[in-house]
Amino acid sequence: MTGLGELDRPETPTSPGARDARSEQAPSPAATPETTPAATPATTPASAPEVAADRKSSAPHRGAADPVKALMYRHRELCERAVDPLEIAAGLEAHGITDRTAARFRHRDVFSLAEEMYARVSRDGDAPPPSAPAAPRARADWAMLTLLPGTVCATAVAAVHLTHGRSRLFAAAAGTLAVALALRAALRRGPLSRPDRSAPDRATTWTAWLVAYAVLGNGLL
Amino acid sequence: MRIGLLTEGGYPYVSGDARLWCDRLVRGLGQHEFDVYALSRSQHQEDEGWIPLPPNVRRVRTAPLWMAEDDEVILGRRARRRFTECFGELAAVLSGASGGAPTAATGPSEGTSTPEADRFGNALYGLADLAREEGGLVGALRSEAAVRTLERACRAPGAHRAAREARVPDLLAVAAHLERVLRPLSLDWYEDAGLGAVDLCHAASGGPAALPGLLARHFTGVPLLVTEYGVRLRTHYLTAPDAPPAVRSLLAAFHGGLAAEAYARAEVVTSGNTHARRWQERCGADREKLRTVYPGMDARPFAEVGESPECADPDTLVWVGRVEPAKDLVSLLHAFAEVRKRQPKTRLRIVGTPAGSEGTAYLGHCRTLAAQLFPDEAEGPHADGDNPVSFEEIGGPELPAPADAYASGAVTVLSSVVEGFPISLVEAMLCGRVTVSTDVGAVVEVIGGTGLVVPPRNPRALAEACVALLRDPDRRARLGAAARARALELFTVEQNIEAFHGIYLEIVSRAPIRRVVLDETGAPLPFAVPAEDHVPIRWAAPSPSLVTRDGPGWATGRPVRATTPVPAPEGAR
Repeated sequence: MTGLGELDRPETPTSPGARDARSEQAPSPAATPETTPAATPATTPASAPEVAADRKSSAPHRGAADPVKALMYRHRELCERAVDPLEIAAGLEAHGITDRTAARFRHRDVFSLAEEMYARVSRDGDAPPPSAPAAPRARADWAMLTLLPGTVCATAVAAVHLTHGRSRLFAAAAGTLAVALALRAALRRGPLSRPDRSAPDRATTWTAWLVAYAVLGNGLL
Repeated sequence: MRIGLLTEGGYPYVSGDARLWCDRLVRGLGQHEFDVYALSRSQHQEDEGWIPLPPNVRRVRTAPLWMAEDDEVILGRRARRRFTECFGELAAVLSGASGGAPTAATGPSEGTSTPEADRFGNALYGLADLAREEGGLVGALRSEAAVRTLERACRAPGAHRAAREARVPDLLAVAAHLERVLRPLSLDWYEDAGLGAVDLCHAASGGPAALPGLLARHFTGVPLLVTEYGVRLRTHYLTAPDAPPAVRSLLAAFHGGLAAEAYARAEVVTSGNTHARRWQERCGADREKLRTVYPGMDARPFAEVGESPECADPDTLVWVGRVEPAKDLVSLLHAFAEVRKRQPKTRLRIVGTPAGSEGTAYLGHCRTLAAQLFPDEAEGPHADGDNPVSFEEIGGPELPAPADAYASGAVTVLSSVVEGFPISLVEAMLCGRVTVSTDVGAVVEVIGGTGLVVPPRNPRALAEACVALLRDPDRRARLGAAARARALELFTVEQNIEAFHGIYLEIVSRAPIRRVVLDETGAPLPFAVPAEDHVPIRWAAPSPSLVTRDGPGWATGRPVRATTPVPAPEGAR
């Protein structure tokens, strides 16, 4: 679940003092969840794998190396869901974990155990939030799409006025086609688009009505 | 003395939490007047009505925390700006967006003097002042400006990661919740005729119930006493509905801040057991203002049984409680199988009603297991047989009252894996029955040395303890008597009421309210307060118990023995 568990195991201290020091560190600003998942493996000594292998072979029973990891696995939903250490503490207590149980994990009380669990859990949201600069580009696109049908329409009308005879017919046809395409683009991705594509097509019908009214005026009614 | 009792979803309502305790308290302290200020939790609760109130309840004022009612207060430009400032500050505290170093993820545990706690309090009282001047903030808290302020705080640098991810629906949910919880700000309870007139505010639970007390303390300096039998913050964590992390994070920050503020401002904080006390300490309550007042139980129904220990069947174990998986009856049945191997005539009575559908299923499972483990047995070849494990309910013809259930057995067993304050143990102790219980929750605290305690989920240890007691009637009688004496001393209603009476007097002596007494025309009335009231000596020294209990200083020395001490004989120990 955590992904850093394999690296984490060798770090488990044998003396209660080391564990306590670590758990005390956990809530400090330097080890807040933004930095912890990256920082914890980095602190693992390079020679750790051999130590791990040694200890694994001599471990008397399963889970002895890192009891907190097993506990975190058992309560993984709680840990992933928690928004602060007290929530984990409340959940652990509701599952019958008391200070005496916490002493087995070399913690003074449930609260410090919960703090360690909170600091060690890796959350789904650890990735940085979606980058902000996406917004301005979208705005430029959006403005262009908004203005496109009007611009094309004006150009087409000007072309129709400036040309004569047969070329006028071509200009009118090309203008109509261009306006239709621009209008379609604006409806697809511009200001009049529907945010959810899966919804029924009622919005499109209304937009079509609106466009038809704009073209034909009161005659449509 | 006039006491303002503050409840949330509690006392005067028929379905309220802790209404029994409040009712006993109010009836037990008939010499004091009580004003009840109740916040109701739902329409259903209001429809059910109130329980009958004793005559010393002078007034009851209620306000709904669930209904959306608009107060048509239009804020002016300056008021709007002040609101945005204060609410923005509050939102910044909740989202962790502080000016300086972010103190993310450490929770409200940093004590009372940190700037974070001060900021929360300042923002809260700023809003309260504004609400008092303008006549209500319900509209403003529901306005778009509030949501925008919240959003700005969540997007500010330094905000928690969870808060940064808040989307508009999350912000709306948080704003709606805050509006409901902060509704006490808009109430008109803090006038001179309301909470301004009481000598002491007693909040019957933490959290929203303590908020009116905090405001009364802010406006008129009324001292506050907070009593928590279950920690409100913990309840919030356990019962909060599933919501996006942003909502849960912001609301948890709010409730944590509110709890810390209440603990910091209260004169005395009482808890029902050590577990609640640890949470309170964790949330920043000063150790010296914490008191443990055990819940009281009515001892009278158990008196008859407690006085006659010989009516017990010496071969019967009794379990009493609500049947649910947390009680671990399976482990009890396995332990009983072990007991039967060594004491074949033993019987087990499981007395209790299932709690909910889960409890019903669990009870069925236990019945099946009992039938598999223990075949029916009979006295002889011609008698009808029955199972050594019987499942019963209180209220039937055999067991009309809980006392009868305890009376029928020699040993009361508790096998829970999760437990709060174990009421069934206290009842067994009041009946003078020895108990064997698992080491969970407040069990050790309740039992003291008057019963056997084994680790949870350990049927063998449970069985050994039971067998040891079943084989030793003398030890059973001795421990049972000790248990009854302990329960009568610590867990009676009288003890509970007496403790609160003492705390009331202590608070009022330490933090008296000095009011200017006015005559009919509104002018200050001279000589209304006796001159002794203004003597610049602290009548109540920092440790008032020393002076009030033991009299003047010359009497506080150690009592002088009139006779030479005689070493106690061995048997007296």
